[in-house]
Amino acid sequence: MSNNIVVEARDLTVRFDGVVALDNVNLKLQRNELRCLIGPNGAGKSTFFKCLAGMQLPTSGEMIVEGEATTGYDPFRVARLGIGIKTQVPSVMDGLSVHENIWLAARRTQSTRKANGIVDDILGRLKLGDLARQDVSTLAHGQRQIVELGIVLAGDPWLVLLDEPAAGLTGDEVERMVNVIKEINDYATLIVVEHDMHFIRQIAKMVTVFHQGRVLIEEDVDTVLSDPIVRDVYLGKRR
Amino acid sequence: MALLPLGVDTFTLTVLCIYALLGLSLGFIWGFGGILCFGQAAFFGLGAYAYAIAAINFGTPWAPFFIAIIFPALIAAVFGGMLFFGRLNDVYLAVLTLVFTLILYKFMNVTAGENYIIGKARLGGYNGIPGFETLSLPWDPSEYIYGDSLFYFSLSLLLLVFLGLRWLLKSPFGRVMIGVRENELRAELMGYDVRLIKTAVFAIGGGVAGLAGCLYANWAEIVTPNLFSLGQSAEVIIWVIVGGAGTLFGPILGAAIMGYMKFLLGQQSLIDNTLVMGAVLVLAVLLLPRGIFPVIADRFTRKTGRERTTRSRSSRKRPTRKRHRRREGSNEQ
Repeated sequence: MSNNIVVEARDLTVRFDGVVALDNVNLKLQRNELRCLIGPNGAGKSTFFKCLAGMQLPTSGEMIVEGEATTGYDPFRVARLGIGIKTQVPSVMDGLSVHENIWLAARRTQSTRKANGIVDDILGRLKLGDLARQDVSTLAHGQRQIVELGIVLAGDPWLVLLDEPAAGLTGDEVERMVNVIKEINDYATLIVVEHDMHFIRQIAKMVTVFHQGRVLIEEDVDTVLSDPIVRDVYLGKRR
Repeated sequence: MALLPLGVDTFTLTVLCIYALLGLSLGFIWGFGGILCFGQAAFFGLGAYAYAIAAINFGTPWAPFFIAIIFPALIAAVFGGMLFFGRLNDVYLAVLTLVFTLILYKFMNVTAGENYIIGKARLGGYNGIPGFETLSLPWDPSEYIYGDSLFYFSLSLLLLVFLGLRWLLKSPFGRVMIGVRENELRAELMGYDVRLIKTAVFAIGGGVAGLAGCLYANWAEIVTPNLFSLGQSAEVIIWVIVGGAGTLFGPILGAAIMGYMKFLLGQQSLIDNTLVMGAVLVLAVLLLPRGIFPVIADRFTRKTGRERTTRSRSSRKRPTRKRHRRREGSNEQ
């Protein structure tokens, strides 16, 4: 793999009324990488995610995507760079069908006819065919997560950001999610924010651990998971 | 006339059509665009004034007719653009639209002086502008459209706008717009510029309200600042709620029913008619929270066993009651 950096955070800092959520975070991401961001509650990983997605304006520092400074971009401009974003609490269009949700995502860049084709393809890939005409507000949490993933995929992104994709999924669904993530990684770069260590173990290659707004460690998954400091952070031990 | 037994003549029916158009304009932007505008009367009034002022200056009715649609739409685009690009949320939006119509109302009331002249037209303060050229046949300017023919003209325009909006809602733009109503953040994350879409929706609503105002000017043959009044704005909202937000036909029905009721109540002096209107609103909200039309439509579809249409499906939801669904799953910041 070439040394091709697609996402770079430079001294990213976010403060909320005196609370420092992110403290001078520097992070680099290479093309086609699958990067997991982990850390305990309040570690700053979701804030970092939001800065990248355009949902949070950093207090200082810069976010650079493929050489373009995206700091202060609105979410739609970030999305138009070809970035697919799945939020923490599933953000889907309640009141509309599964098909319509995915169609709207596909139609942004495609003609109506092509969008229809893309929707059928994604419904098949995610095994959502039976639910296609159902209103998403009637679906269970896990199904909504999958629908949101479908929405993200419909935009044909080269960079996919997933915030807690495994939260609230059943065992079967987790397995499906793992497979889909690996499949996406064949052609796209991924950033996955996750709590679930079991899930991380199944997908992760490189892991960045956040702690108290800083990057604690950035290593491959085995090193990170056997690191005593990481264990302490997760178990809440004082160092 | 067919409706004569109800004690309605075409003169009243015409204004009911006009109200229906106005109701439709708000029903469109609120029920489908998710934009609650407390000042829809502003665009109604702007349409009426634009028509009157242009008709006096040009002396012909058809250019003013189109100006009366385009001008309010442009104002709505500029005003709406400021609100949406400023990312104001629902409450501020409602308040600002309210203030917008209030300002127009107050301003138009003080334009009695000699200084307030646009071209040849005097704004006339609270007396309004009378005596402008009304609509006539394009091929025969001596043949005025009034009375029965104004009714049929208004009714056809109402039908045309209704069908046009229905078509629009089925088009990709309409589908995106409904998506925006359901979840702005998601639409944005899909890459849609929500600000632009909402501005466009608002402008279309402004144009339709302007058309209603233009017809009103032709019907009343005078325009006064009362067109901008708060009462007028509030009434439109009541029509939409009673008829059924989230449908196109509901606001038309609501406007017709409430307009007719106002007409009947106006014939007696026993009870204040705003009191009755208020009571009807309260009853409607309590008993038929989705409005009259969705209930009728549901009953009809159940009886005939037809499949639900997209329209009645989306009507199940009121745009005002956005559900912020939070299921189990972590809420880490």
